[in-house]
Amino acid sequence: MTRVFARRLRNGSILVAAIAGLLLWYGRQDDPLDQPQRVTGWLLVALVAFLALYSVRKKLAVVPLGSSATWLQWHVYIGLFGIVLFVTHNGWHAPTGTLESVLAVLFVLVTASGLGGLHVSRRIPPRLARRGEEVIYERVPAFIHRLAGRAQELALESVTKTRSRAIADFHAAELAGFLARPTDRLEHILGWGTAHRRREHAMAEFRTCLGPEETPVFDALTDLVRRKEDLDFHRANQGLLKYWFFVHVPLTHALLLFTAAHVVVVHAFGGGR
Amino acid sequence: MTEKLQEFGFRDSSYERVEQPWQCGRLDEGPCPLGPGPRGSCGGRAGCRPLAHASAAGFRCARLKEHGGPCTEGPSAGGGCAIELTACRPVHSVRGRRTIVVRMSFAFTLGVLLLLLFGPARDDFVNPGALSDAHHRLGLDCAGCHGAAEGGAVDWLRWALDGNVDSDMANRCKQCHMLSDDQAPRNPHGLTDERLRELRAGQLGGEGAAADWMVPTMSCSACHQEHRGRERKLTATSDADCQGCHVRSFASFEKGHPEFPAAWPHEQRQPVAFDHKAHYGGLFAKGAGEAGPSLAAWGEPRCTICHEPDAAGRDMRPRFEQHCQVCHGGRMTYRGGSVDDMALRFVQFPWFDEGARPEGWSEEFGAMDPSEVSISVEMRILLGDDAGTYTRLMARVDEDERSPEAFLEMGEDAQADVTAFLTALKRMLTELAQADREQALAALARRFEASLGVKPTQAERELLWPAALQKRAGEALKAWFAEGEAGDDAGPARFRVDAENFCLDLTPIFQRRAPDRAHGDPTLQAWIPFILRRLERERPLVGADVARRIPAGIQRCLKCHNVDRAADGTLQVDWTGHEIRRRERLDRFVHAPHLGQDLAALRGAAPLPAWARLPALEGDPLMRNCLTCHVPTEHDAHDDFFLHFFQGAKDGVVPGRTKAHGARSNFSGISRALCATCHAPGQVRSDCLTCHVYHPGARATRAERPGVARGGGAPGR
Repeated sequence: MTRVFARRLRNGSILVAAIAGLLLWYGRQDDPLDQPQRVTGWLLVALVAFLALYSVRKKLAVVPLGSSATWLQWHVYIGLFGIVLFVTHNGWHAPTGTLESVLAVLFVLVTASGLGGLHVSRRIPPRLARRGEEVIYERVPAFIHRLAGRAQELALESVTKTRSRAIADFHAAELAGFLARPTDRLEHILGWGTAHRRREHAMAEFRTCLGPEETPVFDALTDLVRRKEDLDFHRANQGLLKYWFFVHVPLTHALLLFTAAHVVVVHAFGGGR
Repeated sequence: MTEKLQEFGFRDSSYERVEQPWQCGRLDEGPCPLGPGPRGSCGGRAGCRPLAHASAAGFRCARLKEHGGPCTEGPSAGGGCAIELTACRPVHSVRGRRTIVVRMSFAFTLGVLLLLLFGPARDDFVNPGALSDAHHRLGLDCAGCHGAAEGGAVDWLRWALDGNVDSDMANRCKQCHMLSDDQAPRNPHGLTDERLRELRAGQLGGEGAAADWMVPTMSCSACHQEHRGRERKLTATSDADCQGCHVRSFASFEKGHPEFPAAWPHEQRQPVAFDHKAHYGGLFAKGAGEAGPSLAAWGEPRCTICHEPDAAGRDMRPRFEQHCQVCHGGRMTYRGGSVDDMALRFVQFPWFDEGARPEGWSEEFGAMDPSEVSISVEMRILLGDDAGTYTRLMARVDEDERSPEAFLEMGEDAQADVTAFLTALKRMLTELAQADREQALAALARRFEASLGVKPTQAERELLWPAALQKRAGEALKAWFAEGEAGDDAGPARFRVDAENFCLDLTPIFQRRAPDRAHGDPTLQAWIPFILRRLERERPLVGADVARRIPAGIQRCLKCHNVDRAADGTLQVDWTGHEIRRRERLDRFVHAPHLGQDLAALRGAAPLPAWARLPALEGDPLMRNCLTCHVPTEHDAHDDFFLHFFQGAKDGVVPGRTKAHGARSNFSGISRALCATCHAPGQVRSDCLTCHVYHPGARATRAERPGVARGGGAPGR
C-alpha cells in the first residue's frame, strides 16, 4: 500500500463517515423546530469560508499556517463534503427563488471547476513527466523561438550541403509556421494527436523522396519538430494547470458575495430562525 | 545527445519570478536581463545593473552568465551599463492576468448584485418561491408579511441583526389571522404562558405540569412554511410536527398516546351544570309537573330529544329555548327563592328625617325608616368613591341596633353624614342620567374604576348602563331630588322606577316571558361578574359567605351557569356555554361521523343503571351508539355546582377554567382504547389533528387589513 493510497483511504473513510453522519442526522430532523436548514446553512457558510481561505493561505507563504499540501487535502475533502451538505441544505430540492437559484448555480460551477481542477492537477503532472523535458511554462516561447531558429538554420544548411532546395522548401511550406509559435493547444489537452499524425505522415512520405545526403539533415529537422511538439504539449497542459483558476477563483468570489446576500436576506426576512 | 532546452542549475538559469504581475515583452527571443518594472514599464534597456566594488572605487559588470557574462566594455565611471537594448512592451504574467480577471469579475458580480438588490426587481430577486394559493390570491406584497421589505436593502442588515424578525412576522400574521383571546403568537399554540400551564394541567390531569414546554418561543413559519409554491397547503402538518415539541413522543394514537384523564370528558368542568339522572330518570320519565303536556309532546324519553347535532355536526348541545325552557321558562327557582329577587337594584333611596334634607330637595323626604336601608352591591359599585359616605353613616349605629329611633338620636351630629350621603347619591344619579350618553357612560366607567379598580370596556358600558336605564335614572332624579311628582310606575318596562319603595330596578327579560327572547338578560349578564368582583374585593367569598352575601337572584343564575376564575383572578360566568370551551380547548370531537356507525358492538356488558333503563335506550340504534361512549352510572351529579365551585375555589381545587373541578358526572369516562378500536392505521384516521387543534379558538381571517391590498397590486409570486 503506497503512502498516497493510504492517505486517500484514510481521508476518504473520514469523508464517507462525515457524509453518513450528516445524512443520518438530517434524516432524524423531522421536527421543524430543530431548524436543520439553519444548521446546514451556517455550516455551509463556514465551510465555504474555510475553502476560500486556502487562497489566502497560499498568499501568506511565510506565515506558519501549515503546509500548502495539508491545506489542499482539507480543501479537497471538505469541498467534497460540501457537495452533500449543499444538497442537504436545499432539502434535496432545486431552489425556486432567483437569488437561491443563482447561488445554487454558482455553487455548482465552483464545485465543478474545483473538481475539474482536482482532476487536471492529478492527471496532468504525470503526463508532463512522461513526455519531453521539464520546462518552465514562461520560458516555452523562448524555447520555441530557439527551436525555430535552429530549424531555419538546418533548412539553409541543407541547401548548402546537398545543393537541393527540397528540405528548405518543405520546411518553408510545412514546418515554418508550426515551429514559429505554440500550436495545437486543444489537441494536446484532449490528447487527440490528429495534427501530430498528419505531420508525421507528411514527414515520413517526404523522407522517402530524399537522397542519402539529405536524410541526416531532415532527421535533425524531424527531431526539432518533435521537440517543438513536446514544448506545445507542455505549454498546453501547464497552461491548463494555471488557467483553471481563472474560472474557479472568480466564481468563488461571486459565490461568497451571493452567499453574504443570501444570509442577510434570509435573516432579515425571517427564514433564518 | 540532444541538447537540453531548460537548464535548472543556479548558474545556468535565472530565477523565474512567476508571481510578478509583468513579464518581459521579448519572451520569444529570450527575456532581457533586468525584466519589467513593478508597474509594467520596461526595465531591460541596460544589459545589467552594475555593482559597486566593495573594496575599491568604481563598478563592475553584473551581467549573468546566461546572458553572456560580463561585457568587455564594462560599466561607466558613474555605474551606468555600457550596453543599450531596445525597449520592449512588457506583458501581463499569468498571475497578473488572473489578478485582473478576478478583480474585474468581482467588481462585475458586486455591481450585478447591487443592481439586483437596489433595483426595481429587488422583490422578485429575493423572493424564494411562489406564495401559497391562499396568500397569492390576496395579492400580498413582501411588506405584507416582512417588516424588512418596508425598508431598503441597507435596512435588511439591521433586520438581520435585530433578532425581532420572528416577532414582527408573527404580529403581521396576527393582524390578519385571529387566533385566540389570549394571544401570544410566538408561544406554543399562540397562547400565553399562563393559559398554556392551565391547559397542560387540565388536559393532562397534572401529568408533566411541573415542566415547562420545550420550546419557549416559535415562529408561525415553523409549521406554516411559505414560498413553497401555489400548490403548497400551508396548514398541512404531520404528526412529527406535533411530537417535535411535546415531551412525550409516541408511535401513534393506538401505541403510546397518553391515556385520557379519568372520567374524560364527562367530569371535566362543563359550562352548564346538568344532572341527567335527575332529569332523565326522574322528570322526563314521569312527564310530570306543570310542563307535563309539553314533555309528552316529545314522545318517549330518548337522548335525541335534547341532543341533536348542530349544523357542523360537531356538538350535540341542548338549547335553552328549545329544551330547557319547556320546564324552566319563568320558573327558575333556587333554594325556594322568588322570581322577584332576580332583579338588580341600581339605586335604593334611603329616607331620612326631614331635618337632614338639603334645602330645595323634594318635600317627599319623609321619615323613612333608615334601618331598612341596605344598599345593594350594584349601588355600592355605582357610588364609586362616594360609597364611603354610606359606610360612615351606617357605622354610627351598630347593625343590630339600627332603628328609626337610633338614627333620630344621632341628632345634629349625624346631619353632616346624612347630607354627605344624600349629596353623593344625587351626584351619582346626576352624572349617570345626564343627557349626553357618552358623558354618562364615561361617568359610569369612572365609578366602576373607583369601585373595582377596572374600567369596563365600551361594549360592557353599553350593556351595564343601557339608554333605557339612563332614562329611568333621569326620571328618578327628577322624582326624588327636584320639584314635581314622582315618575309613573314603569309598569311592565324592563327598567323600573319604584316610586313607592324608592328604587331603580332591572327586571330581567326572562321574568317577563318576553316573546322574542326568553333567556339571557344582557344587562344582568354584564352586571354579575362585576358584582362578584365587588364582593370579592370587599371580602373573599368563601364558606358560608357564598350563600349569604351573593344576592339570591344571582345565585339562581349560577345554579346552572358555572363560575370561572379567569386568568386575571376575577370571577366570570360562563354565559356562552361551550363556545368559550371550544375556543380554549386543544382537542375536538365531531359527533356526526360517529352517529352513522354501528358502535353498539363496542359497548361493554355492564348493565345500565335503573335511571337509564328505559325502553327507547335499547331499542333505538342511534342511542345504542350514544351509550357506547356515554355509559350511564349510578352516580348522582352535584346538585349544587354553584356552591361546589366556590368551595373548590376556597380549597384551591379550581384555580383555572378548564381544570376538572371535582364535579361528578352521571356517566363514566371514555377510554383511549375504545377510540383506538377504530382509529388505527388502515381503519379510521388517527393522526394528531384528527382530535387536536393547534390554534384553539382560531377564528376567521379578517377580511381586510390596513396596508394590505386585496386582489390588487402585484400578486406575490
